[in-house]
This record gives sequence, C-alpha cells and structure tokens, in this order.
Amino acid sequence: MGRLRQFYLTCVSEVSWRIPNRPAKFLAQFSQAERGSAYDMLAAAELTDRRELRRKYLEHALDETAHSKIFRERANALGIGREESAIIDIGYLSDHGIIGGETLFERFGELKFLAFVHIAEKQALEQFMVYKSRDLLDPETQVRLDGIRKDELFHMTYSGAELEHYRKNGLDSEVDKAIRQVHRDRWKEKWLRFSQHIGHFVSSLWLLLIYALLIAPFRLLARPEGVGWHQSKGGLSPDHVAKNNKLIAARMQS
Amino acid sequence: MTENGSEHVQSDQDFTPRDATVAPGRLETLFLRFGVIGELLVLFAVGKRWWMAPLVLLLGLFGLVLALISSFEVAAPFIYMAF
Amino acid sequence: MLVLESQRDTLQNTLSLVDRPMPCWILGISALYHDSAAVLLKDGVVFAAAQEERFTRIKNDLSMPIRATAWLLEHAGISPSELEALVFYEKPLRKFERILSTSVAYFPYSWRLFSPQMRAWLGDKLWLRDKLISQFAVPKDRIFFSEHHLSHAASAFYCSPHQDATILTVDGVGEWATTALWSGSGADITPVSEIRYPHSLGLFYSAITAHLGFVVNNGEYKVMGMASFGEPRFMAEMNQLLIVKDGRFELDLRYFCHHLHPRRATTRHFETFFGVPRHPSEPFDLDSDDPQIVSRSQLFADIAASAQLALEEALMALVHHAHQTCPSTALCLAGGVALNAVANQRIATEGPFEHVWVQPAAGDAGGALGAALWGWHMVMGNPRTAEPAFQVSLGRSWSASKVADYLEDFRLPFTDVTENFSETVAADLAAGKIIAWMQDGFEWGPRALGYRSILADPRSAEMKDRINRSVKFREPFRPFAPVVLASAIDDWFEVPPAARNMTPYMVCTVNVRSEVIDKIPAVTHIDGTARVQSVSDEHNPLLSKVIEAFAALTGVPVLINTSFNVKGDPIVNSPVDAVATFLQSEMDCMYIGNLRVEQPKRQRYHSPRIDG
Repeated sequence: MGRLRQFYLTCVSEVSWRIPNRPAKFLAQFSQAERGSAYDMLAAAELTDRRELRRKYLEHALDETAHSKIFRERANALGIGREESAIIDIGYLSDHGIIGGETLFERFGELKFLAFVHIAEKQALEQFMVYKSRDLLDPETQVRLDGIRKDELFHMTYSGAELEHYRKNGLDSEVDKAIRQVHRDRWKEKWLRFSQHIGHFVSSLWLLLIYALLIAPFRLLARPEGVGWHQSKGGLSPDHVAKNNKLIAARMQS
Repeated sequence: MTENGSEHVQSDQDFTPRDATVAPGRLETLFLRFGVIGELLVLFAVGKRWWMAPLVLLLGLFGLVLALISSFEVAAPFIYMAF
Repeated sequence: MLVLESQRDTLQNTLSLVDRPMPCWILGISALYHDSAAVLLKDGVVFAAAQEERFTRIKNDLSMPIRATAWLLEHAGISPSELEALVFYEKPLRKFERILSTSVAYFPYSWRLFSPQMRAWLGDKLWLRDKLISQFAVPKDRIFFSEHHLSHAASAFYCSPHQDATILTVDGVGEWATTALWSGSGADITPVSEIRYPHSLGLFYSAITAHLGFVVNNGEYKVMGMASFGEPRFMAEMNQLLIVKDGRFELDLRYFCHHLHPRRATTRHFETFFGVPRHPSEPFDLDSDDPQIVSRSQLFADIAASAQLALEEALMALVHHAHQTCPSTALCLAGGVALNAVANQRIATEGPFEHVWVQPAAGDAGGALGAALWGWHMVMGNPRTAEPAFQVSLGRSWSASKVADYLEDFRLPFTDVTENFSETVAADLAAGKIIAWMQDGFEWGPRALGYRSILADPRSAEMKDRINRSVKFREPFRPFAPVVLASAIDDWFEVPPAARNMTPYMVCTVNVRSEVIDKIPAVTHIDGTARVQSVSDEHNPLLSKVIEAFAALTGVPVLINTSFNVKGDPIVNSPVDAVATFLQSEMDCMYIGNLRVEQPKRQRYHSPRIDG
C-alpha cells in the first residue's frame, strides 16, 4: 500500500468509524456489498467460457455469502435502526453490479473482470488492515474480520495468479490496460456518486423551494378525493373510445 | 431435461434488445418529452384540474433541465454547482 | 445477432412456403414500482413469462425487465422489431397526476414527500416512453399503455376458465384506484367503479407489516403467518382505523401517513393503539422462558390477527357489493391483496360466488401478463377461445447437457437417474431427506409450484423446524405448504367448492381434514389450515409421478413444497443459482432434471486456504 493511500484510508476511517452508531451502519453496508458481489461472482460462474475458473468463481461467491451473513450478524449485534435492520435482516438488496441489464462480467469481459476482482479485494484488505492497526472495531467484530481477511487474501491471490497467467500468454499490455481501466472506473464511479449526491441535494432544495413558495395558492382550489365508490376513470370505456380512436386511446400515457 | 423430453436449448449468443438502433437521438428525445408535457397538460385540463396547468408546466420544464444536466455525467457536478 | 437474423430469415421463408402469416408477438411489461416482469404472447397465448428478479437476483426487483425481455426474445428467436406491440401495465401520466394532486391537496403536510417523489418522477419516471423506446428498441407507434387495475383485472379474467365473471382488483395503489370493480364478458372487460387513493386496503396491510418489523411489499406473508398465533382482540381499534360500511371501506387518515411521508406509513396516533413498533431483530417466541418476550410476542400476534380479520371483513364487504352491483357466478380476484390466501379461503367459503379464481401472479408482476392480454383482446379486438388450464412453468429452462457441464466444472459428483426416476426421488423423500428440485422452466408468480422447489416428507413436525432452521434460515413461525395429488385432495383437505379451480396455484388456504391432521403435521399450520397446491398429470406430470411413488411407499400422497431459495433470495433460476443455494444450506440432495447430486460431505465446499 502506498503511503498516500494509507494516509487517506487512515484519515477517512478514523473520522467515519468514530462517529457514534456509524460502525453498525457500515457493517450493514458491508453485508449488502458482499451479498451483491456474491451475485456478481455467480453470474461470472455462469457466463465464463473458461470452464476451469467456474469453480473458483462459485467458491468466491459462497465466501461472499458467508461474509455477508457475518457482517449482518455484527451489524444487528451493534444495534442498527429499525428500517435498515428490516432490510438487511432478510438480506434484501436494492442493487449490485448490474447496470442497464448487464452484469459486471458481461460489461467487463473475463480479463477486466479478474483485474476488477483483484483490485477490489486488495483494496478491501488494505482497508481491513487499517481498521486493525487503528483498533477501530469492537473485539468480537475484529475476530470475525480476521477470518474474513483470510478469504479475501485467497480471492486476491487467485485473481492475481490468473492475471499473471494472462501476462505469461503474451497479454502483458492488455493486463496493464485492464488494471488502469479498473482504477479509472473506480474513481469515475466515486465521482459520479458524488455527482449524484450533489444533484440530489440541489434538486431537493429547488423542489422544496417550489413547494414552499408556489404550492400554497393551488391548495386553495384543491380537494382530496372523496371516499367510497367512484365512477371508473379508466379502461377503454365506450365514450373514451368514441372521443379517440381506439389505438390512439391505448397509446396514451394518460 | 425431463422425462417428457421438453428441452429448450439456450443459444450461446448474448442477445440484448438495446443492440437495435431505434434509440431516439437527443433532439428526438427532447421532442418526445415536450410531447409528454403537452399530454400532461391535457390530462389535467380534462380532469377538471386546469388550474394546475402553470404548476405542471413549471415542474415539467424543471424535469427536462434535471434530466439534461444528469446526461452530462462527469461534468454534472459543476453544472449543479452553478445553481 | 447474426445467428438470430439468419434463423429468422429461414423461418420467414418456411412460413411463406406454407402461406401462413407471421405470428403476432406481444410483449407485456410491468416495472418501476415493485416486482417487474415481462410476458411474451404468441397469437394471444402466453409463450413465456418471467420476473426480472430471477435474472438480476434482486428480490422484488423493480427495474426495467431488460434481462427477462432479452431472454424472452432469445427464447422466441425474434428481434424487438418483430413485436407487434409492447404494452406497459399502467398509465404513468395519470399516476403523476395523482401524486401531484395529492401533494397539493395535503399541503403543507405533504412537504416531506413532495421533494423525493417529484425528483423520482421529473428526473426519470415521467419520461417513460422514450426510455421504453431506447431500452426495448420498439418503435413509438407500437408502444401502448394499459392501466394498473385494468392490467390486474385482465390477468385474472383472461387466464380464468370463466367466460363471464365479476372482477375485483385490490392492491396498494395504481393510478388513482386502490380497489376497482369490473365486469368481464367474453373478450371485454368493462369498468364499473373504483375506490381511490389514499384509501387502500393494500396500504393498510403494509402499514401493519411495517409496524410488525417486516419489509413492506415483502413481509406481508409473515403477517398472515403470524396472525394464526394471536387472538383478534384489537378489533375495536382496527374498526376505527379501517371503517367498513355499505359495501365499501375507508381509512381514518388520522392514523396513516403513507400519503404524506416517504418512509412512514403510520402516525403517532396509531402507536397509541398498538404501542412501540417491533424492531426486526426483536425475537418472536411464544414459548420463551422470558415472560417479557412472550408478552411482546403475543401482542404482535394479536395485532396481526386483528389486522388480518379486519382485512377479511373489508374484503367480504367488497365481495358482497361486487355481487350485488354486477351479479355473476364467478369472481376473479387480482392485485397484491388477492395473494392473501387466508382471505381467499374465507371469500370462497362464505362469499356469494359459486367460483372464485385468483391468477398465481396476482401481484404487480401479473400486471405484465394482464397488459399483454389486454393488448391482444381489447386493443386488437381478438375474441377469446377456450384455452386449457393456465400453466405456470413459463420461465427459462436448461438443457441436460448444459447442467451436466456446470456440475462437472463445479466438481460435484452426480448420477443420472433417468431409470426409476420417480421411485428414486420418492425413496430419498421417505428416508427423510430434504430435496432440492429443479425441473423445466421456472414458475410464473411468487410461489414455487413444483419446478424450483424444496421437497420433503410432511409426516413429522420436526421436518418443518429443520427446514426453517438449516435450509431456509427463516422465522420459525412460518408454515410450509403441502403439495398433494389432485386425485387425493379431498381425502386430506376440505376444499370449498368455490375454490376448486384455484388449488393448482397455492393461492388459497384450506382446512386439513381432522382425521388426517396428525399424519401431516409439518404442513398443517397452527390453526389447522394449509396453503395447499394440487398437482395432476395435466399440470405437472413429473412431480405427480413422484408423489404417487411416495404415496406407494408411505400411504401419504402429500409432500412439503417450499420455494427453492434461502431467505431474502429470489427463487433460483439457473443451475448455478441452484448449486450455490444447495451448497450454502443443509439440503441432502438435489435433482436437476434427471441428474441427482448429493450434498458434499466436507464441512466446507472450499479447498483449504493459504493462511494469511
């Protein structure tokens, strides 16, 4: 780990993990992340053409599932909020590596996928190392994390070995390119997430302004819907169709 | 795969509908979206909520701007900050 | 792409030779709220259907069903340009109208909801049409929009065996309607009347679900299961929250805030009735040694029981109203609330209709099916024909050779048991083994109906605890459903005459016959009911033969049938999902097609690790 990265990780971890109630929340997020990557690995096991890698991907997926469970238990033990607990309690996931209908493996292809796995596992290990050296976790979680670290080391090692295998087969520059791309992607992803947060914040602010300043006069004319049975608004009812052609009516979004 | 021999063999070809090329261009998308705002205004008018038209128009345009900015991806945060 | 193009050309040539028109393909889509799905119709008959969650592995996935659609088109060997129509299951602009109007009508109390909702709509959902065009590659003039409750109604009516029926759809909320009444005749569905947002039975039940510490749109079954452990001692309170009179219902909005708040469904007044909400990790154990836990658990069970009863009362009122307003012999029910199997039993037993029918994907996923059928019948004007009973194995299937490849690559030993298949499975079951079962294409709808199931012997009560604890990792109070031979169903269960058509789909509970109740304790819920599924040669010949063989060994033509997944996962789709699920639980063996796989003996499947 480079000094700069270590310094960065230490600062971020020190600040974020010392905030009360945060560790439980982080562990819940880890649980979700591990679960998501388990699915990414399963998709890789299903889709890869390199049949000798299938079992490794499957084992990796099973590890991630087990880790997810451990993190979930620890998050619950440290006491997370009602809503989050309900969600992680059933392992409910809102998203993982699928974007626009494509899995991580489909988007990246085998080589870049392996580079991604290698780098992600390496960075996770570095992060865990910082937690340990700065003594940021409660003893019980630290013990469980030590177990997880062994698995992560295995994941990093096998993916690294596969990358070496590509290099030996004369794909040196492709491997380097994939690694560069993965690093770039990870930064880009961080930036876009930041962008999302900003967008979220700015648009919320504007909408709140609109709400506070402009809605009130409209309220004077508005009536909530009455209770009980109403005449149906919908369907291709005869008068609805009479006014519009049937096909046009069916195409309407309204 | 079963006793009655029913078997759908999956093609190895990866097939995503997005491969096809009917995706609307930026300008066409913009026209489509103006159309949506128009359809919304008609809907509110027909539903005896014509008095909400200014609000609907304002929000619709706001939505257009929002979608436009987020389509700039990497540069989006800078544009947001301008607000 | 090239392969498919050439396949299509060949197909076209063949068709022109015999002078047959090209088939009419219609794609139905439901998405963006919960349980997105895609359905492909070929000349008005369901060709294939799938929920997106099976492909993305995100339970109740609500994103556009891109992967499901890709599979459907690949399976049919067509490109998007060959689709005659793409039908979206609701009208987004009318939904936006409702959301904006409600926000304005409840100003200033709706301030929390306004911003997140408008952000989601203005930034994304409002521009649905251009998204559909670009994501599904279908030209603008072939995109149609049905209506939320109409899609539900169509999914129930057109798949039912009835030519004339009263249709009642009840769910959270669609565009404006939360409950709608329709009259179905032949290929026509005529709107009658509707009850509008924010008064909603679906949202009422979801509020209780959230109060009891479960995830909304996911944990409603758990409330139903919990209800059997309690007494409905909160009916006075429930009657204040949910007012039922004159064949309709309304919510007292002092107690609910789903129309005002993005994350909360109930107000503080609600808590004065029912106390502090349950934390999800709070134990539910009526046999605990800790009296505090027992009393809290009993409170939760009583709340669940009261809510369930209140829901049933409201539904009964609606059903009677429906019968008076548009009388007919058959009732088709749809919408998320129609998945409440206990309420369906009551409607079938006490209701005024001779037949009750619920389509197995009654929730939002079913909207995709209804939308496509609506396009075929009501937009294109095609008549209805008498169709065979609705089949549920509509999802992706895998060739035996592909499965064998995967198993070999995973280095899992397997045996081909094509000979004596049913007997081998039955012997495993009779020996008390828990079996993972994956055959044909996966099921349509939320229930495992014998294609992606976990099967086991129902004769001992311990089996239920074993599966809950070490296979599914789920709450001990949740019951398991039985699958029974259709020919023997009356010997074991009291099926109300009105519910007869529903038994293949596990959408209605029935009473277990008192004389056999001790013989199948693992599938009998505490209140003596079971959410039964019947199988016959017509519906699932493979499973039917296995149960026959099991009955020959044990005298019991019943098995435990639960979905092949672990808690929080969608039901498995591919052999890879199946293997992963199998290996992370303590099932004994797995049958994929005719291949039998034993659980590896090692503690862990993994190879030994390098110590770090």
